[in-house]
Amino acid sequence: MTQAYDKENELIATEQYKIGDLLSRLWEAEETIRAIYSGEADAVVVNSPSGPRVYTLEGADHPYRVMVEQMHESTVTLDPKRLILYSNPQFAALIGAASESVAGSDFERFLAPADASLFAGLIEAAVAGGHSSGELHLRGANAATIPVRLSVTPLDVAGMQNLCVIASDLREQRRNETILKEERLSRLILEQAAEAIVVIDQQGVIVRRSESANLLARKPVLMEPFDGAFHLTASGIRLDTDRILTAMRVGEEITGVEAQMAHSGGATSALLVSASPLSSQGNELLGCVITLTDITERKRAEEALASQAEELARSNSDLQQFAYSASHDLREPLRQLAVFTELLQSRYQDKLAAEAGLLIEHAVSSAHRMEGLLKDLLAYTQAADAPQGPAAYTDANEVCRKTVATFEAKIAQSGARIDCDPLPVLAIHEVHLTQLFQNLIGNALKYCGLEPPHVHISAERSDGLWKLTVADNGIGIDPAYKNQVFGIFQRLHGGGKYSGSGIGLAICQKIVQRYGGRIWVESELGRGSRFMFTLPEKKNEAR
Amino acid sequence: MKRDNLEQLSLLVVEDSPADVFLVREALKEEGLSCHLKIADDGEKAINILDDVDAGGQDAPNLLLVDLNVPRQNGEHVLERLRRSPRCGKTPVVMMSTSDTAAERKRAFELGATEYFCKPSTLAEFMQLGKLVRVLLEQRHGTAA
Amino acid sequence: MEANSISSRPSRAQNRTHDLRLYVAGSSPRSLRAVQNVKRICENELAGKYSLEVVDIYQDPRRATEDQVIAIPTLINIKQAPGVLRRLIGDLSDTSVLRKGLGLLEAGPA
Repeated sequence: MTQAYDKENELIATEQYKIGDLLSRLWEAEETIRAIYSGEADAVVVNSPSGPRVYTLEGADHPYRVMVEQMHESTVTLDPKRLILYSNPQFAALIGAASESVAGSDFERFLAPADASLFAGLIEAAVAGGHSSGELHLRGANAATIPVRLSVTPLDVAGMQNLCVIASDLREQRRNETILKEERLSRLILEQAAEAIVVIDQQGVIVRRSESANLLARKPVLMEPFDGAFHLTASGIRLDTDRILTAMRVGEEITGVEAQMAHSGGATSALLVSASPLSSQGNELLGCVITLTDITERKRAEEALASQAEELARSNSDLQQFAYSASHDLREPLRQLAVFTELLQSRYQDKLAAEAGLLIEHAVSSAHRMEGLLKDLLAYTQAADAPQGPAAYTDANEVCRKTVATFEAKIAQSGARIDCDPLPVLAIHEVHLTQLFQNLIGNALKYCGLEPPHVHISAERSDGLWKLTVADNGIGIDPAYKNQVFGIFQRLHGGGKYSGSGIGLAICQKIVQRYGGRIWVESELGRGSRFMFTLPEKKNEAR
Repeated sequence: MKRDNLEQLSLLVVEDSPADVFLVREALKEEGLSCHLKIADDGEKAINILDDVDAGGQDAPNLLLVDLNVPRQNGEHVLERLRRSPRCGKTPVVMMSTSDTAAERKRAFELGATEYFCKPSTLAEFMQLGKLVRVLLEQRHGTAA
Repeated sequence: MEANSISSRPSRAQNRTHDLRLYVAGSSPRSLRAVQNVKRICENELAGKYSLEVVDIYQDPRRATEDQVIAIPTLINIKQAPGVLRRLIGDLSDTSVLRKGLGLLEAGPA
């Protein structure tokens, strides 16, 4: 019965296996008991109703063990070959490894490669000196670099020359240092800001302030209600935290609002107030930052400047008035002097010596010349007075034509030729442009040489300015005097060769300057003159 | 060349400068006008005279020569007062001034001046005032030529 | 977790003969010695063919009951072959016991 035999064999094999297993278990059980009896076990695990509990057989180290497990620091125990024999949970967490995979590993695995020699040095120092510490980097999960301070202490445990390594995580500290640095910086900025800056919370209490905020409030304002520290009014309405926070809530801007701040003594400051909301991530308004710029001084300076300008304008106008009165009032007696001297002559001609007539003639001519000067002075003081009405625009072609017409007789007499290019419309009062042409064309005709005068009037535009040129072929001007000719009563020709008091170009200059322009001359003796003046172009303004 | 029919006329001269009053007399004399001259050396006196004329206290002048720059009430005020006068509101007026600004001239004509005479600084020109007065008087009172 | 299992580093799962789990109790001397001894034998004789987990029962007591560990240190051979000892207790300083427990042939002291 092969089948029976096979079955029996199979049974025997099964029984043999069972026996082998039992023997092995027996050996295991004997070994367990022997190990426990011989004190080779440190702890036993017992199932209790509240779960498994560990009973340490050598109980003295219990407090230290708890400490090591519970302390914030990470610690490992290394054997001389730097094999990790023990790691506390914090170390496994620090490097992001499963705790059961740490013990039994080489420590190098968790060390940043660049710091391997540093670590070797630490160990060397610890073995030699009993202790060492230093900062280096561990390599965590995903090759993250973790800054740590390592303390290494040799540890002899039951004949084993181990090393106790404590790693303090420096990441938080590093981050704190950065944050602290930034925090300190922003605090420094806040405190040193020239403007008064305060941060208020939802209740309107000042939770941060710049040093200048204290100065403005004239008292320490930290943790004070804003409304108590800064009594603000804008456009006659109280600008308090209610108003500011409400504005922040509805998204209204407060930027550079001019406000008055009332101080306790009754004094006031002029301020510019700006506010920006501080919101939480959930968009809840936590408070706001208020900037108060003291513009009292600036305003005072502006007012002083304005009053100075007013003063200057007044004194200018006083001077103008004085010059006008002087020239006007002086003219009357002078005129009478001239007339009466003539009267004297005509009435008593027969009774006077022959020379007397000549003397009277001189007296009369002096009086007339002085009257002429006063008349010119009067014209000069009034030259740039603005006629009533809005800024005027004048067609220069028209004015030029009219002016040339006034010289008709002179032109005919001297055989002069006057060429006038097309001219622009200029932003100038007609009366002033007339004076300019009158003087410049008049001069061009007057200071002619032997040739008949030839006058050319042209215009060109550049850089927002119109430049007009009155060129002639006359006697010219010595370049040395080209600035002097614009001075008041400056004449280059004596002896009555060319009449005139020398006021014309001074008047031209005064007019051109009134419009922000410039007048100058290019000339050489005997080669004619080119008088040029500029006037701003304002073509976009309505006429 | 005396015109007898103009001799009985009277002129009111409003002028504070005795020298100019003298010259006005000379100019009239030169023109052969021997009108009766009434002199007011400030504006207020001139206005008082006009008040008196309106009140019937004296005859109305036939022409006025008014300097613009007279004390108290200036020439413009005198002119204004004259034009409101019921008795002599239409009387010709020559406004006189040493200065000759366009603005002054314009203002004088706006207020109803008949002529504007800029006091000149030559004798001959000043004497032209006499001619001007004659023309104005003849326009109004006819000439017996 | 890059460092999840150091045991997979020296050997690939298919040619592994020993999957070991060592139960220790913190840094008690015997536990430290057990780690050192197991590691030494494995590296000497099973290099590339073993995995080792070191479980601190203080940190993870539940696992001790799962494996029915009653005394510490205990070494358990999870990938058990017939006639191979399942668990060894003590610091395993006696290499012959450890070698026998791991089913290694008797040889001279390592």
